Amino acid sequence: MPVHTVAILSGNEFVVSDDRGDLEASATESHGLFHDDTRFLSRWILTINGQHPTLLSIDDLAYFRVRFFLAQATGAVYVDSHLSVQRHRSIEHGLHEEITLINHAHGPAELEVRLDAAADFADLFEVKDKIEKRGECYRELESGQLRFGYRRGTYSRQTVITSSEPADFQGDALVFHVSIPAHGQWSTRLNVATISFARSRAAAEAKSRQAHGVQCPELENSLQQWIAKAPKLSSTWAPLEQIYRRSLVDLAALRFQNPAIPGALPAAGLPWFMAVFGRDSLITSFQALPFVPELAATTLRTLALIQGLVIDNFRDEEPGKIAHELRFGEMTAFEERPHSPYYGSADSTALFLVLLDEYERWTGDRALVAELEPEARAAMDWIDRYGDRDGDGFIEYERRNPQTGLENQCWKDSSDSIAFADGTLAPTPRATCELQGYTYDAKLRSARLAREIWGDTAWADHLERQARQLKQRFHEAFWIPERGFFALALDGRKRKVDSLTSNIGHLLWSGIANTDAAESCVRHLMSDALFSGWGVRTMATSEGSFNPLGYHVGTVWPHDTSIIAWGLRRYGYGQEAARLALGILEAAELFHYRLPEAFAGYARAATLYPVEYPTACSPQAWATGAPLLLVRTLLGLEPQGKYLIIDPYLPEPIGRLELLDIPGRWGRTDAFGRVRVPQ
Amino acid sequence: MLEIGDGAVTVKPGDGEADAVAICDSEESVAAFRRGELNPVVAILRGQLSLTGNLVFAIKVIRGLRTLTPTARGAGAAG
Repeated sequence: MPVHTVAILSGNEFVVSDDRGDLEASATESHGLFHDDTRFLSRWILTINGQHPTLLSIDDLAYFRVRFFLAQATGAVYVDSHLSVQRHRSIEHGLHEEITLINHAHGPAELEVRLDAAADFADLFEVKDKIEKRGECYRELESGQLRFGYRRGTYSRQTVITSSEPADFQGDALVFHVSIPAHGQWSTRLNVATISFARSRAAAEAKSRQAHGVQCPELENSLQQWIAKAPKLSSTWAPLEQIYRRSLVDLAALRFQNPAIPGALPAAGLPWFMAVFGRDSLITSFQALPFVPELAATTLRTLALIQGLVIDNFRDEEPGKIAHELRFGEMTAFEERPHSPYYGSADSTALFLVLLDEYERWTGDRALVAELEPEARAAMDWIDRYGDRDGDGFIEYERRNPQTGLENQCWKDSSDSIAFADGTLAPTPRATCELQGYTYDAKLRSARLAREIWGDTAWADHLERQARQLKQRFHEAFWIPERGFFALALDGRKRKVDSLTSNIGHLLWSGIANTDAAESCVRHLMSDALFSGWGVRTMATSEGSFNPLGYHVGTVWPHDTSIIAWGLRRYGYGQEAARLALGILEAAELFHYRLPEAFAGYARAATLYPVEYPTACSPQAWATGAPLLLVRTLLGLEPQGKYLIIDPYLPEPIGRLELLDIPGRWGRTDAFGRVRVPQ
Repeated sequence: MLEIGDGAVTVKPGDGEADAVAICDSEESVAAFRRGELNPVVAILRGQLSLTGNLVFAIKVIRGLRTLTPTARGAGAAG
């Protein structure tokens, strides 16, 4: 997001404003108060005597609270302002704002304080894709409150604005006629409640009013407990401590509450993806397992609850398939978008099984694995029956919904991501290589669960046999001997899509590559064509579609590099893993300790700083999780039975790294690593 | 009232205690559900369906009705 916007969030409600605290949504500014994928405030502008106050500074130390320090403009640089203006804002069950004016003059101040408000109730898809609304907006004034509403058939949404000081309602504005004595002050508390369902209107309004104003003690306590429960990290490379803390806080901010299931799971990213995403929630939970394992449990339970049951072309739903994305906005409600939920990802199902096994290996929570056995079996059935569309033994995808479904159902889901080396797009169905890796891993991991927990040895043997066959077939079909790496995909005509991409790194994470193939892939991953010096590019500079600003064809994605680094450790390439980890962590330091979703793929030698990608989400869940997986990589943390194996390999700048109180089936334990200087 | 147990669903008079309650706004919505034409999430977002009680159980039952093979395990009742 551009630097002149300020965002606070709490799960799936968030506010995006300018740096004065004003909201003025337009075709170019995605300002607003958003909740459940709907914009409940599109305008919220403070003026005093008809003038916008001037920004002095912003205190945004908590993710759910911000304070804007402003002053009444005097119109001349050499004339001091005599009026301080503070806007203290928080979000928790609606928006809460306390406006305080302090008169520093020797005489009284007579002021007209005006807040212009509006609510357009735009669905996030309408904001993103500039689509017109179809229903009817209205405004009501009743007993000291301003109510904006929207209705379309039985669908209704409302925004209710109240203030602690009596306001004069003028159209869409709240106006306060204020008289402040010399050296005195005035303040008012404003409450903006968001109401999604008419039946729960009274409860939502009451909950919003009871949210303790701008202090948010519940959120504050929850954050403190979250940080206190996480392992303690210290390092002689000081930025790592800041990056780690930032990751923990951002993960807390992205926690998404599901009313059906206790706990929270990570939403994908601010501002466009504050929703349950199968792939993103699964990968983020995997990255965070050694630190906050509870995220994984909620993610698995939630995705199990909405697992596909029937064949539904509109939603790309199939029995056993794990969901891609769940939305709550108007376009979803009227089936103008298929996200109720949408199932257009071909990898989430295998990743669900991968996380289920990894979660049990870390936590020893056999009960959850036993509880989810039916869903795990259904997921495996989907892989064999629907994931492999043509019976060739590979997972391939082609959307059932050609109007609003996703063309690419792998993590690189933009339309130009699966291209040959000469830049031509590969026809569908597409079987990307990492899908085969995830499936291989899922089969081996499920075999372990079948043998050790579900008591089904025959099924375990079957799954292991399938995995061995898949590995052999994969090498035969995907390996490009003349280039020495695995094809990005097989296209609809079973041709090898021969671009060199970061996807080959995921194969190391999954373990599907044999040793010789892995060695060759590692050489490519560490080459100048793929490794920018900050991280691994999504596509190598040598390929026809490469663009350092291409979303999936040249940018660097921190989560991608973190998965690759972990894969390198798996194959014994500790030094290379440490090099990748350091590149991403040094980039994080320059991004003020918060990694964006993606950044430009320019060579590090060309710029002193990593170059931003213009529309990257930040915070974004799996970018937030990347430093966590990199810490695991550097310390070589791997559960084995009831023990935690620690096998550190640190790059030289990170001389010493200590992680205390790592939770797991062993209770709590500590890990320590330091750079070994060769004798 | 639906009573679910031992892999069977039984329709009973709605006068007992239920683990979860699903309220539809109209008979047309109920009929649309039964025909598989109304998606449960869509119905909730449009205000045509509300769920209370054990939400996990309620969601499993409502979604399961689409296949006429509810996936919820263990005995329970949904009104």
